[in-house]
Amino acid sequence: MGQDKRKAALMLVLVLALCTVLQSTALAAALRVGSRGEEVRQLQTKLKRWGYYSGAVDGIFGSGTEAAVKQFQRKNGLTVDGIVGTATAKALGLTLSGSSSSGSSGGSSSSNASGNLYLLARLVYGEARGEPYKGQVAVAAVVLNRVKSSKFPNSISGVIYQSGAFSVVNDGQINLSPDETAIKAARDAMNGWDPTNGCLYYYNPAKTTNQWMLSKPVLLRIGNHSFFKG
Amino acid sequence: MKEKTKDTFERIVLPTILAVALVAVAFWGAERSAMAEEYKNSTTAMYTRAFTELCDNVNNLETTLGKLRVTASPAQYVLLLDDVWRLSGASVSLMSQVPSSHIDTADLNSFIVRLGDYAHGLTKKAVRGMPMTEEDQAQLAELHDACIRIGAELNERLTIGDVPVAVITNDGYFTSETTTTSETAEASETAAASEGEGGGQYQEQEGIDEFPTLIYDGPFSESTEKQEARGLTGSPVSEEEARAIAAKLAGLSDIEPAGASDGTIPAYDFHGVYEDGREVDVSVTQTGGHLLWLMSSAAGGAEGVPEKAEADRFRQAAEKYLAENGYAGMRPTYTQYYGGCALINFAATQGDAILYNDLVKVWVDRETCGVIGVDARNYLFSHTERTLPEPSVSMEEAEGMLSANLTVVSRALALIPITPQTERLCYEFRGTCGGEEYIVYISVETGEEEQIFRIINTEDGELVM
Repeated sequence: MGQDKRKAALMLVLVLALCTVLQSTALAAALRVGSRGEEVRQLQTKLKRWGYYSGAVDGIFGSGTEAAVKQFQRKNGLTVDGIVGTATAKALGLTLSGSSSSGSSGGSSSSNASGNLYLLARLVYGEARGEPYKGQVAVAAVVLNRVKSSKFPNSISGVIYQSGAFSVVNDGQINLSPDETAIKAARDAMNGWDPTNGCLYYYNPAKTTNQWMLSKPVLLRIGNHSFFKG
Repeated sequence: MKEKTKDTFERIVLPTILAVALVAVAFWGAERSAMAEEYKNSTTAMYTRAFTELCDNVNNLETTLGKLRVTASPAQYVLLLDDVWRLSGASVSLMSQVPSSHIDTADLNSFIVRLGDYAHGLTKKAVRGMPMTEEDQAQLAELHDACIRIGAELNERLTIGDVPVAVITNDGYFTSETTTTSETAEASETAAASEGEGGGQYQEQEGIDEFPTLIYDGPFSESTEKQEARGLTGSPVSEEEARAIAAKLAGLSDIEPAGASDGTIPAYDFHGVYEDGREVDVSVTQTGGHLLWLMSSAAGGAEGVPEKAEADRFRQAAEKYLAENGYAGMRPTYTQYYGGCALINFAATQGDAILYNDLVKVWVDRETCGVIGVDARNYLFSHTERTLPEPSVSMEEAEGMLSANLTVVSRALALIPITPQTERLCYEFRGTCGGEEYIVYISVETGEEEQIFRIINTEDGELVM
């Protein structure tokens, strides 16, 4: 009995160790027929630029994209399987995020998700996806108010990627594909809707212990966030 | 026999497998740690580069400001100002790359942005032939002194190797050092960053007042950031009065209060739900009970640019709504179509002139033709009765001054923003050149070309750049 237990424990250790090893070598989520989202869009853009692909850059991995990937693999001496795994992704210069892309749609496919709009939408999705719609627009509006302020960088990407400004940039959530709501919120904010009435900062009072944040008079609250001007 | 198999397993097989696994894990760990080290080195290199370049830029700014004090040549003056503008832009971009909290860098950032903004304003004045005033001289001298101080501080840090390189440092880098508070601040920073609003060590304003206040008129100037809403007329309204106004604006019999915001334009917020489940948010100003913004969502999801007759219907619906809600005499300027709605921009008019600053945006639902959004913030900021100058240049004369490459399609009179505080009455010429559409503005007083816009037709409608 005792022996069996010991053996079981040993086996468990063994399995765990093997799992860890395997995990390190396992592929990040590969792109294949049926995948959708921003990564597919990037893939198509690259393939198109290099002349492998002639279809629409729509973020949907269909047979056209598959044929292009195969052609790319053949030309570059990779295994010709039509699947963008780590090796193919590396050759393409793509980074596969692992979990985000498949399943969630890459937003309104017809509208030209221009760089800034899409970046802003990604921030909104990362920072405020559980918030009411107005709260999502508010987060986007804070970014735009910062762009207009002298205290912050003067571009959307400058504000979003400013060191330590948004935690979603540090933990990588910024790279998730935004949903339709986040894109619409970003768009409404870019078109001028500012529910925060000119605020430059926000925080979640239930979570923050930052004394500087807490010492500031709150101008308004939307959902879980308190907004202030600084 | 069975015992023996078990024995072999425990004595040989199992330890072997474990040993192999251990070696594999060790290899994997070593590889990972090497990789992490590599990443760390490359980020450190980037931060160091950004910081070093920032120091260089601030030093160059200082030198350029020094030269500006001694130049007597108008051409040199403009070139130097241009340099200040360029260096300020580059410095701001570098500052955002240095891993210091945005709260600590805000004041220095502000100073450098305004410095560039101010220099750019002086360039514009200079190329119009306006001489440098004594105030400008004095201000430049003050800026030079401030730059000497900031540059010296940054150089000192660079010399002693005190460069912020950690992924997130909270060392209050740009403020004076006080080690006593740093620990608590660090703890709070971690907590703050974890839920998304960032933050940083904040030290009471000591040493920050060293940045001189710049008095000028530009997009980032203090006067612009503290601008009062000129169009906010009338007497204060109570929340109950505002509620009735909001309900009417939203087309509901009643609407729930959703708090008040004491922002740039103090307002009461309201929230309501339509019968079909769509939500609506309305904000009404505390002064005068004006509509600040209204936002709901479209019932449908139509895309693309509609037929003319349909576009006219959207415009008429928007015009009717504006007229009914106190915004009369508005003129539609350009339209975008997205997400099932038409977004029409309206500008106020005075006489024949379009007042481009006094903008109201109206969103019309393409399915129901109902108004689902309004944004009157710009209008409330700037709308007031203007004193318009008498033209000393006729429209025909102005048209004669246009570039021969432009084929004029339409003409109008417009008051356009030149700086945040100044507007100029201009003739507006819409024309084409090489298949592209442009709008050129010629001053009615001087005949000078004040502004050029390029119209970009996208699948969503027109954009002006």
